[in-house]
Amino acid sequence: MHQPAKAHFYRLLPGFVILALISLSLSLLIGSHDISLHQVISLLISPDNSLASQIIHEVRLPRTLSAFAVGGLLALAGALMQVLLRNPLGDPYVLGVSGGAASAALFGMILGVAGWLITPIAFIGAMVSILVVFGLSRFQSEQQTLLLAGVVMAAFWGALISLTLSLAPPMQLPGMLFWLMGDLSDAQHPLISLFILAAGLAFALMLANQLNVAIYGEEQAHSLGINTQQLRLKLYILTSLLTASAVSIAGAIGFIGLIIPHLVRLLGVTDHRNLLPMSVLAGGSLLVLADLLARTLISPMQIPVGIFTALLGVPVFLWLLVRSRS
Amino acid sequence: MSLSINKLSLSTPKRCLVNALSLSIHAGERWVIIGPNGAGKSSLLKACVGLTAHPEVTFEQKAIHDYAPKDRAQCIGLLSQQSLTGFNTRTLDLVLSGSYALTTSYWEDQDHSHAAQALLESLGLSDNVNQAVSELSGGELRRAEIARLMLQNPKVMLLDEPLNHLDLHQQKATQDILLKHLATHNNAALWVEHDLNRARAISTHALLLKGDGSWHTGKAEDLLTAANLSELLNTPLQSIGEQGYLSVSY
Repeated sequence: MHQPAKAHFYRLLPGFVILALISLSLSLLIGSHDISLHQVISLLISPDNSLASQIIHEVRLPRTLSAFAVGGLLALAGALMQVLLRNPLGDPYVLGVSGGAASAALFGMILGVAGWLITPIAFIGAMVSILVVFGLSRFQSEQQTLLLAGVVMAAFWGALISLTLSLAPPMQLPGMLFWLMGDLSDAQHPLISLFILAAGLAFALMLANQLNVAIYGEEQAHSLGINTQQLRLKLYILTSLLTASAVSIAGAIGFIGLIIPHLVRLLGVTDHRNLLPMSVLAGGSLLVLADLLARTLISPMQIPVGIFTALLGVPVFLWLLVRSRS
Repeated sequence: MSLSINKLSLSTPKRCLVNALSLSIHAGERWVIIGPNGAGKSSLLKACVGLTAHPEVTFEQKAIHDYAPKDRAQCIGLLSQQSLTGFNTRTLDLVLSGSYALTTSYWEDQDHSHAAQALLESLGLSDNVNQAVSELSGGELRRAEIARLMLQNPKVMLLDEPLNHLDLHQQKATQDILLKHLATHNNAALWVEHDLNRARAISTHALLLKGDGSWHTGKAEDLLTAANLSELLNTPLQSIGEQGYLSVSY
C-alpha cells in the first residue's frame, strides 16, 4: 500500500523531534559543572543569580542552541545543494564554500581588520566561493563539472589558508584555527541563528514541491511545469545564505551537509516536504551531540567540533562514493 | 486547439538542421517525425516544449515560452529520450510528479495518487509501485515515464522514441495504451519514431527531416512511401505484401 507523503510526515517527524529534544537536553545537562535535571528545568523557567544559573543561561544554552542552528543550517544547505547539482555529493564543505569563508576570515585577521568585521568578511568569502562555482553553471550546466569545480575550489582555498597560516604571527594562530576546524565556543546570538534557520526552512519548504520535480533533470522539470531558471536562482541564493550564515557563526564545520540528508534518505524519506524538516532536526541534533563530545571528552580542554564531524563524515563520505559507483 | 510552428529554423554551430519549418498540429492528430540521426528531431521537440526560446512556436496563437510554466505544462509535455532518475524516489513518486502542474495543494491529491496507481497498473507495473526507480529495468522506467506523461495529460504530447528499451510485447501493449489515451482525450502527438512500420501504423501525419535544412510535411499515407523513405534515410527499402510492410533490401 502506498504511503502518502503526508502520512509519512506525521509518522516519522515525532521521532526526529524526540531526537532533537533528547540531544538538546543532554547538552544542557552534561558539562564540567554538575547540575541536576531538576535544577536545569527550574533554572530554565526561573533564572536566579547562582553560578548554576549563569552556566545554564550564559554558557550551555547559547552554545547548545547555536550548535543546533548551525547543524540545521548545514544540513538544509546540503540537502538543497544536492538537488541543485543533482548529485548526492553536494555539500558546502566539499564544494569549497566553507573554505572560501575561512580564507577570507584569515586574510582579514592577518591584515589586522577589527574583530567584529571578521564575521561579515567570512560571509563575503562564502558568497564569493559559491558564486564562482555556481557562476560556472551559466556556461557549463553539466553537474559533474560543477562538482569538480567545487572540489578544485576547495583545494585552492586550502592552499590559500596554508599560505596565510605560514605568514601569520604565532600570536594569531589559535584564533585562526577556529575558522579551519569549526568551533562553537564563541558562538553568540543563538536566537538570530535560530531565526535564520527557521526562515530558511520556511522558504525551502515553499520550494519543496518544485524540488520533488527538479530531481528528474532540467528537461523533465521544465516539461512538467517548473520555471527551472528561476528555481535554480532561488536555490543558489538560499544555499549561499544558509552556508555563509553557518560558517560565520561557527567556522568551517564539514560533512554535516553531506551525511545528514543521506542518512534521512536511507530511512526511506525521499520527498522533500519530509526530507527538509527532518534533515534540519537531524543535523541540529547531530551537531549538538558532536559539540557535547567536543567540550566534555577531555574536559576542561575543548576539541574543535569540526574534528568530530570530519572523523565521522569522511568514512561515511567514502562509503557513499563506493555505493554510488556500484 | 492547435500547435503551430511558423518558419522555425534550427541549426548547430556547424550546419543548418531545419530551415523555416512551418506546420500546424490539431487536436487528435498524430504526427510522426522521421529522419536520420542528428537531423534535429529531438531539438525540434525541445523547441516545441519551450526549452529553447523560439517565438515561432505557438499554442493557440500564443508563443509557448510566454505561457506561465504550469499552464504550459497543461498544453504541452515532453517524454525525453533520456531517462533521468533522482535520488532513489519510488516509482509512484516519479509518476506523481506528472501532477505538479495540475494542483495547487501542498500535499499530494488523493485522486492523483489513485490515478497514478491505475496508470502504473495499466502499463503492467503494479508490482513496481513502491519500488525505487533505480531498481527498475530500462523498459520499466520508460513505462513509468509514459505513465507520468499520461497523468500530466498535456493537450500535445511530444514523444521522443517512447517505446525505446521496451520488449516486443510491451512495445505493442504500451503503443496501444498510448494511442487509446490520445484518442480518449483527443490529444495531439508529435512522435519521433525509427521503426517505419510502426510509424505508418500510428500516424495520421508525418514530418520528414533530412538534417540538411530540408523537410516535408503531409498526410502519413502520402508521405511514408518506400520511395520517399529510401531517399530520406539513404537506404534502399522495399514494400512487402498486401499491407505494404517496409523492409530494407539486402
